[in-house]
Amino acid sequence: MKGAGRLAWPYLAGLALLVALPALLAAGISLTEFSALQPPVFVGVANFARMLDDELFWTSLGNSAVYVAVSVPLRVAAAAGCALLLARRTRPAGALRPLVYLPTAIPEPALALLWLWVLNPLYGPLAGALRALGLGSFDALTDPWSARIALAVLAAFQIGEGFVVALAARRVIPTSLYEAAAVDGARPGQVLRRVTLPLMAPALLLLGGRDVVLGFQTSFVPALLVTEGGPRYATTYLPVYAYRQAFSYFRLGYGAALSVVMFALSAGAVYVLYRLGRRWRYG
Amino acid sequence: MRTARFVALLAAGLLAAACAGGAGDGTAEADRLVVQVSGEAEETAVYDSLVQEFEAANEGIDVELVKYAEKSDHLTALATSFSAGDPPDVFLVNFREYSQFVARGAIEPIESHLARAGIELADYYEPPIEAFTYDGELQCMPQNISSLVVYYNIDLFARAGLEPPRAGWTWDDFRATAKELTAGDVYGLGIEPNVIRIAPFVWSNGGDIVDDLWAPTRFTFDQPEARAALEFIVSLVRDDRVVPSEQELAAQDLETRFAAGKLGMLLSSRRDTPVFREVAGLNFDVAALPVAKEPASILHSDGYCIAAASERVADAARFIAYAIGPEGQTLTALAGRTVPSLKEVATSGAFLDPAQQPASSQVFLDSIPHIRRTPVIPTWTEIEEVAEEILTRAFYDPGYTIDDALRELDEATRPLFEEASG
Repeated sequence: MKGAGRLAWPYLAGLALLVALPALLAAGISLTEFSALQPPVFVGVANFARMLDDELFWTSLGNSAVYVAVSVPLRVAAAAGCALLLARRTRPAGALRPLVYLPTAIPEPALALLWLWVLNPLYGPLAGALRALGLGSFDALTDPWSARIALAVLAAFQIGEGFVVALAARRVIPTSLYEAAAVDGARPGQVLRRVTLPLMAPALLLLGGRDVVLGFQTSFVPALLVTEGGPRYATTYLPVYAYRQAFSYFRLGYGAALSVVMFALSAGAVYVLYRLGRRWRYG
Repeated sequence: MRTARFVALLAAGLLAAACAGGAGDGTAEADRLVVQVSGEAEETAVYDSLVQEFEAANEGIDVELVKYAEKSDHLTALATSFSAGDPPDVFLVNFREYSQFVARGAIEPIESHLARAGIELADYYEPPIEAFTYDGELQCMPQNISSLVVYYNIDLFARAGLEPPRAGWTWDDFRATAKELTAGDVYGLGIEPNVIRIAPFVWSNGGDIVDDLWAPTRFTFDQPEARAALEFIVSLVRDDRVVPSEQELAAQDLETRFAAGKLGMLLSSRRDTPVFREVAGLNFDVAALPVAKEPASILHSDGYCIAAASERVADAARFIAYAIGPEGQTLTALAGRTVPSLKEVATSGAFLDPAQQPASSQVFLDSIPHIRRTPVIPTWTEIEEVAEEILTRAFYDPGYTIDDALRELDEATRPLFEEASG
């Protein structure tokens, strides 16, 4: 116990230095008007009041909500689906498992450039395939809804950690339960619904909650590099908007206020998850 | 261009990885004069030679040149390095972008330093000097006096049986030419939906883009002359269909299209010249913008600024004096990147050499008397970005009318004009 506690120290120190301290500073800066070039001026909650009338803030909040609503179920389903398909200790499954993890190991900017090529509306392989199949076009770079969907779907390719967790959750389900189900004559669909999924549920719930929080972060790089926040602000997510305000327009106070809102939303999601998790455990 | 951007991003990624892995060489950096510029590889190559020549002529000053492929990354890097208290000593920015730094006291006014280095401002063209003057003092030193011109593909003109555009050609000529050139996968015209492309058309039609150049409170695209100019451009896109669609542009941008011989005319400034010179088999030249009521063009000028926080102001001033002096300007002019702001170099063979493309570089000098500029206010870059979103819709969104665009443009930008004056 003591040894394990000592192991946690570097992480806690890192968290304090790299997350907690900047978060506190951001909270402080959010109450100021701060251009980064001149000393901050205290303005109270003016930055938060500004959001109420800021159309782009609401647009970006809505965009982030759509992103989370589409990407989280997709990511959890993909992680769980791959885990179930590849849980068997067979040679082909073993060979495929690293492939599921692989996209997660690719640096995000490199992946973003790859997607930029894939999504090219005239010369990309996706457009080519759609044309060949006579399915029309998919303009992720010029059509707002296509862009929203595309970026959320892209997120479902980087599910490495979720996959590993789901795989572990599947593997700890005792085989005796499956044997009992087989004795009772349960069909595969019934086994999945009555045995596998309920027992994996706490892990999947945890993954979902983590993805909600992470959704605010993971949407940043592709939105910046693939769609540049567009078209028509469709992929200007909250972090992208905060970043632009802070570092393109020198409104660090407002940018900090936006990130405080993001933090509050994430905290809310974690709280809901915590309550759900508790009910699961004791209910 | 997409490929250049791809490579640059990749390089930036690798560089970031390398920096994260290796140890920061703090001492070496402190000894060097840091100069930050932006542009595509072909454009920024000339600054490498400039730095080399400067170092050779100035024993003891080491220059570290920092280059960004994308201008937005260049500006973001400036903002973050300024907020971290560690800005580059010298940086090159457009006159439309420097005021956000000046207004916040981040720039060391350059006028007195240049005077000490023996630079006579009278030797330079007046418009860019005026544009970089803020609070009655020259803040940054312009390296060039570029402007918007029509790049055209000589072979595509010949194939369509068209004469090269002549000075004073009309909007009708312009439209007819663009239509003649549009055939197959070739489009007649490339124009971006932004304020700096449309403004010279507004001016040429006798209108204006803002209510007051020195203290603007709103856009005036709703005035009859300005509106007519906007309608003219939009009709080229929507009715005549001589401009590539938004989807086609997302697939391949205007410069790449022009370089690939798939665009008859491209509205751009001098900055594309070094890129196009590198394209094998591309025969191009430049012509003046078409005229409605009076000739007009728009100033494109970058200036060298010194960061107020720099600890090497004297060295910085020496570098800038060299870069904008006869030797430095000759170098950048030969590379095709600049229309020199120094008159004696602009009128020399270094810039006008007819053996180099574009053969009609004189067009840039001829437009100087008609050159006008956008306002210099701290929120201008944001105003331009907001306007570009709206103008993009005016160009390409079905059902989105000029009235919609004008209304939204006013609503979205008025608070930003107000913020700048307040």
